[in-house]
Amino acid sequence: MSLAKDALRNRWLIVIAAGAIMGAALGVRHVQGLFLQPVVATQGWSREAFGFALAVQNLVWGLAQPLTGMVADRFGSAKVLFLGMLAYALGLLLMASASDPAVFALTNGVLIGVALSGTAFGAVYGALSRIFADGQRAWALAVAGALGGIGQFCMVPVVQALIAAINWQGAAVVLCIVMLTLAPLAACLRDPTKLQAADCTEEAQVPMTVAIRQAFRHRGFWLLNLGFMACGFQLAFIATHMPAYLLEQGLNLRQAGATLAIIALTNVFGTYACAQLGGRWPARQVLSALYALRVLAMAAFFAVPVTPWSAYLFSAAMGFLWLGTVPLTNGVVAQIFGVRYITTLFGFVFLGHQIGGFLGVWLGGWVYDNYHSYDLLWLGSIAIGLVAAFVHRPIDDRPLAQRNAAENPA
Amino acid sequence: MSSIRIRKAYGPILAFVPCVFVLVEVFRAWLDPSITLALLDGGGLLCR
Repeated sequence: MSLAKDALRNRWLIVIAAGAIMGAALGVRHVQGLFLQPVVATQGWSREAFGFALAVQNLVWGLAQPLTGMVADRFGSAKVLFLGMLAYALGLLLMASASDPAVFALTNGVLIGVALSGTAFGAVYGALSRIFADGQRAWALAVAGALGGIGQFCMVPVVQALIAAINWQGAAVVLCIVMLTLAPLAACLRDPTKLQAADCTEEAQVPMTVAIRQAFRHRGFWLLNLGFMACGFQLAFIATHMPAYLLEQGLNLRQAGATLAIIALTNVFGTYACAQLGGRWPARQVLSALYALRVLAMAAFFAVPVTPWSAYLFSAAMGFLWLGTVPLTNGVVAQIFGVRYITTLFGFVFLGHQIGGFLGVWLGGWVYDNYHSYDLLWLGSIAIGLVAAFVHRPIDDRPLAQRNAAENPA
Repeated sequence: MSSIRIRKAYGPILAFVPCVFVLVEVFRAWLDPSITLALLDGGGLLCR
């Protein structure tokens, strides 16, 4: 039986395994903020020390993603996912026993940062892109993405209850056990890394260095990078600074907190819908529309007086458009460059996302400290969204081999 | 209607109901004051 037929037969098992791994990886990352108070209170460290570890984690995740991608493309995604889950578990275990901020930064920051690059979007979507042929790929990314979103959504109250019932160290150990338990699921994501790739074409025979060089010379690759950087900026700015903005506008704590819950919930449905749309229409056009809708949502929210309901509606809209960019961007990369080196090439684009995220958090604080208002950041975020909506339209998304053949007829 | 046809027709809906129930309950749990405070305090570090 061919690999494509095998994938079709076991499709639910594969996407549920993928979703469970990604849900756990992203979910544990999503609850990091819940550890702030107990860690600071019990260890006597500063908030800055805790924040530094998480900043390191974000940057290491971005920097490690292309490298992890190279390993996955060379040796197979299943091995990377399995080792990633083990590294995640080890990071959580060592984090629970960290005695000073430097060790905490090394475990929670560096080790979990590397582990995320082997267990989250890049590794999981890369594996699914290779396992499933064109007709099934959008569906697989949609289901796995939605399951990942459910993991993030459900883990917040569960981990908060764990921290309250035991303590933060105990909660970290429980999460470590969860990672170890889920690690064997990586075996379901054995992907074809050699010539038998699901949509085997001549791209499969190109060495990795040549594929990277070809991508770096492709204008669309850099436009995708720019768009994904804008995505990182917007999401990080909103997730980090919007609650403070809402409190400043007169909403109470419960209302501000509800907006984060709405974003996390609607993200589940949005990720599924966006990924599915990417299978029906050209992914770059869906991406362009998604960024345009984000601009409309932000402009409308900025223009009207802030009330609880305007905040809820805005959160629902943004949540729906939240992580849908990831399967779509992955889809454009796969469409142009093929799936042989998808994890590596998506890794480079993802690095741009993390840099954008860093700027969104840091600039948000800097602008507020200097101007005592978030208005400039909202306007900047709208402008960046407009740029992202426009840069995806001119991307030449023809497969590279087809483009080369058209430009250099033999 | 045969049992297979009934299962095919109503199975997805019946499977969907508990999922919605769980999501609603989780959403309500998010609104617990302890979570709200922790989220907003650590909100800056919660970013994706």
